[in-house]
Amino acid sequence: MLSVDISKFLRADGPDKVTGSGRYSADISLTGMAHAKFLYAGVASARITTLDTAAAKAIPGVFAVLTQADVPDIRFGSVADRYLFAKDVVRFEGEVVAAVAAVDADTAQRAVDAIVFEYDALPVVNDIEAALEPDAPLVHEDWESYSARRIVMDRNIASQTILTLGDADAALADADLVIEGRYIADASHAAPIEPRGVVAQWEGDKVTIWTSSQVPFQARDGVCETLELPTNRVRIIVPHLGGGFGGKCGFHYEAHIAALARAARRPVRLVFSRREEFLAPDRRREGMIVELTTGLRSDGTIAARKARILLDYGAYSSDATFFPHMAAMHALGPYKIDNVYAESSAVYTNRQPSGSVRAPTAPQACWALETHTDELAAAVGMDPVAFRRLNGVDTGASGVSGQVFDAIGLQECITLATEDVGYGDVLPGDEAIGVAIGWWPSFPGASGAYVKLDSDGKGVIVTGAQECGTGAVMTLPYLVANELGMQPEDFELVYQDTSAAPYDVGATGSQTLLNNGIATIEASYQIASRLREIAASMLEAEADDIVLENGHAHVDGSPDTAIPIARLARRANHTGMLIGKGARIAPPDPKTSISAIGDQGVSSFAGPQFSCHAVRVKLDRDTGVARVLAVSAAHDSGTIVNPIGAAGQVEGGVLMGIGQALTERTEYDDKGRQVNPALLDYKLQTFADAPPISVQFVEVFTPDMGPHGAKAIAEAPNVATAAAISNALGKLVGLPMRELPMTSERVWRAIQAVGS
Amino acid sequence: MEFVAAKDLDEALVAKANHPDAEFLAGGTDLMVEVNLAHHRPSSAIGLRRVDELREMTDLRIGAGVTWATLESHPHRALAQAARTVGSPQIRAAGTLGGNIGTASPAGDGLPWIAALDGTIELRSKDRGTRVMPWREFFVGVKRTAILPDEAIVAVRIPEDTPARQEFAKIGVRNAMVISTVSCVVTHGDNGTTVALGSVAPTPMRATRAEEMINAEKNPSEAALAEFARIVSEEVRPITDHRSTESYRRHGAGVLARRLLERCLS
Ligand SMILES: Cc1cc2nc3c(=O)[nH]c(=O)nc-3n(C[C@H](O)[C@H](O)[C@H](O)COP(=O)(O)OP(=O)(O)OC[C@H]3O[C@@H](n4cnc5c(N)ncnc54)[C@H](O)[C@@H]3O)c2cc1C
Repeated sequence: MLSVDISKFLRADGPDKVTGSGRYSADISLTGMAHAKFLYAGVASARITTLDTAAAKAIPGVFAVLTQADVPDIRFGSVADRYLFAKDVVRFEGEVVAAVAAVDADTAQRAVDAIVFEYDALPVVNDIEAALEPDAPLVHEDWESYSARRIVMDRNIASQTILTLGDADAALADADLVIEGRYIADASHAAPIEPRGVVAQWEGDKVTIWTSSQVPFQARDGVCETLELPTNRVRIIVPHLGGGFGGKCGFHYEAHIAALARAARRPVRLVFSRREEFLAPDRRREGMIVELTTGLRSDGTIAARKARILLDYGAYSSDATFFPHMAAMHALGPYKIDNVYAESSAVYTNRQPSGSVRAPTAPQACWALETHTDELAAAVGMDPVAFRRLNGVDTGASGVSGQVFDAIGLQECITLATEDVGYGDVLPGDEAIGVAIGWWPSFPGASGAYVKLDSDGKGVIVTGAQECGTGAVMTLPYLVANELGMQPEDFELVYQDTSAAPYDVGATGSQTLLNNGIATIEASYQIASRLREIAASMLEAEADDIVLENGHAHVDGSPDTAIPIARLARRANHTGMLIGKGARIAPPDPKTSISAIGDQGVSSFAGPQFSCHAVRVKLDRDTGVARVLAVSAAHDSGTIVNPIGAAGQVEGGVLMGIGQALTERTEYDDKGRQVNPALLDYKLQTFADAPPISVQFVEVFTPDMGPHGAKAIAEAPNVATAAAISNALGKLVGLPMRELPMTSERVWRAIQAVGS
Repeated sequence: MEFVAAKDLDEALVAKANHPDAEFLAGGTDLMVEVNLAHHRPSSAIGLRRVDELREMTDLRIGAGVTWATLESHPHRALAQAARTVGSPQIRAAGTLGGNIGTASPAGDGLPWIAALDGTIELRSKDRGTRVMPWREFFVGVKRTAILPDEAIVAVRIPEDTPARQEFAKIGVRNAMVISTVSCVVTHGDNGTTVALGSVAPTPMRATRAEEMINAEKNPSEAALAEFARIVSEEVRPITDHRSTESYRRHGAGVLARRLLERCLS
């Protein structure tokens, strides 16, 4: 079906990035450009008593100083719970209080330091369980005036979902065995290597904003909403993006810088330091407490499961209102269970807001569930892999939301990953293999593209999609070339520009190739049929009989009389041009039978992806230092359109998962401030830590999802790794892991606990 | 910030004598981190990259300007082992032993080796010439040394009768680019065993009681090794901070010391 050879995939953006000729937001420099700096709250919870910018404005070289008083009085966000700048109160340390534009960064910083900012400290909500106490201080005093469709709020509960299928209590009462567990995951960060940059320039009443965003259209909509501008006066352009991992989803500082540029009457650039990148954006992988109760029958099948989940949501809602629902689905898991009950709450705290970080909520919830699952297997005396085979979903089975699955490959993933890692082999005493399974939906969503062929037969794909490093946009030329019988190199990409391209949701929810691939193929169909018509008239044949192949058109069966596509294209200029357009129309959601209060629309997993990760871990029992020796990851993400790109996603997801498992952790002091907002003390994995990662795909053709039967891919690999490592460590230590990350010191303490 | 790139040691010392507030800049891998985090904005800096005298190296005298990259293949095994664990290739290409000593972080990975071998620090100033200071006197506290404002660190010197065996290891939370939670050097030779540790006290330290105990044993038994580890754990003086706890550091110190001793004895 894909006749173009994609096995030697070369990214069109690769040379730019490798040679340094590529330009990122922070590289942009405009004539007369000023430099922005923010004043941050620096305190997690306080009422502002003085905010005086007079002295800052008086400093020579300062062009503008803005606070909330200088921008429209608009509350925004998915439950409209925040303003651009702090208004009256600050709710987390990284909240922007004021912004300065000045002739250079040092002057801007001096102006920030000259702003008189005084406040009365308020109590800090720094613990998600304490936040639920009836007398707990409220992070948002006015929560009752906030509103949003489908969202259940209550005091410090920012969003709650309750899922019910069957009768969990009754089934637990009847179960032969009931196992409980409580698991606590710390918050972590997306930590993209490029700290964000934003540049804004006004020309008349139009503003162009260059920004490090994964979601340029959302960024545009945020600017339009907060500065009260129509969409056609705001143009967002994203230069090369230096990674995102979700950290650059959502609307962040584009409006602040646009407002500054307007006030300063010149272009303004903001470039974040690493510290700001850690503290300020409303993007953090939330901390979580997961309590699970599972009832088992003596034959090892699962009779019922209850889950109680608390998410450390931070101070504002960001894009995270669906997180409780999503976390619940992951805590219930890809298992056949007829009786479930989950109560999942996102809890406001005076901490940095949570937001979409790669597979939001899944790695933590999957870690909790899969650690618990090994405990269940042990309780019924079953091998943990056999237990997963018995209880895991399969084609035709009904899952925890009552969704009946079409053809899926979970069971085969289990087989492939465990065989590949050598599950069952005799290992040295300090090594063990842990296995976990996970799932993640595909997200069909709005997405558009144009394709054109110019008169020399060269093409341009104009897409709304955003390339965040995954290579998804880079794959589009292959899809188009495949439809038109051309080569990927025949196509240029115009992308990441909201004024040039139709709408796209952005590089969020692994949806780029899934949706934009469909839109782009549809656009190329239109060109293909025009080419066939022109060729048919020249060859005196029926359009349906024309084959587009090797850059030529010929009549089926007569390849010797072929017309170069370039000639057809030249002719097309006089006969109506070669312009195609496409848009993804989302298919209806699969049916479920679960009841959901606070329904956020994720009970049904469209195009559900499944995975099994099996890891071999070596543990130094004297120190608790764990080393991941090998990872085998098997994934059902439907048809794999781009094997190199897909394998890269799995390898990256696994490595990110190892970091979450062992080292990545954002710590807070008792005042709600981050203790380690620096790469010095927030430990990502390095190449020296990376084990061999073997990747296998179970290619199940999935209709009505992505191009050629594909599902999504980018987030699914970031679900099950930490869970698998947990299960290996659990075997080595002799106790289930209860805290994430499983740092050497925590593992050592668990070893001590077993010993004593 | 003013910057002078000294051509030789004399020029560096003259510049320092004239500007005692100036900071020497060797590889910059500590200093620039401080500057960037704005902990510290020196008024001026004296660049040492071009000072050849500081890169001189023999088995018993290592110039302050020798980089970790060079030390990775140094004949002193434990120093080479330590060098290989420092930062990343980029950091090792720039960072120097002199900078490690100048910073005097409790976690400096070069420092336990100096302590274990009873090294001395060679200092020089324009007006008073050279003075040589035992490491114990030189390192006085967390990031504090006995260097005077007009002095430069010129070299580390090691006594002649170097021990036959020496081993370095550290515990950190990942395999590269990591600050030691505990680091340790054990040496063993005709003069007995020495044990030095980093990250477990304000300065690099020797576990002298453990040394005495093990030096009294001819052929240490399992029980003696366990006792040795226990005494090391007891002797160290670590703190609890956001990177680790006192108890884990104590424990790790004992584990490392014992393992390294076993390697030396094998
Ligand atoms: C990413 C990263 C990873 C790191 N990893 C490690 C690690 O694993 N282990 C470790 O121990 N360290 C590590 N460090 C710290 C640092 O690299 C080392 O301490 C290095 O040895 C410092 O040497 P330098 O030449 O760069 O010192 P500089 O930064 O140039 O100087 C450090 C201090 O010493 C003074 N100084 C330098 N030379 C002299 C001299 N000749 N006379 C007097 N004073 C002098 C300077 O004025 C300054 O105060 C790391 C640093 C970074 C940024």
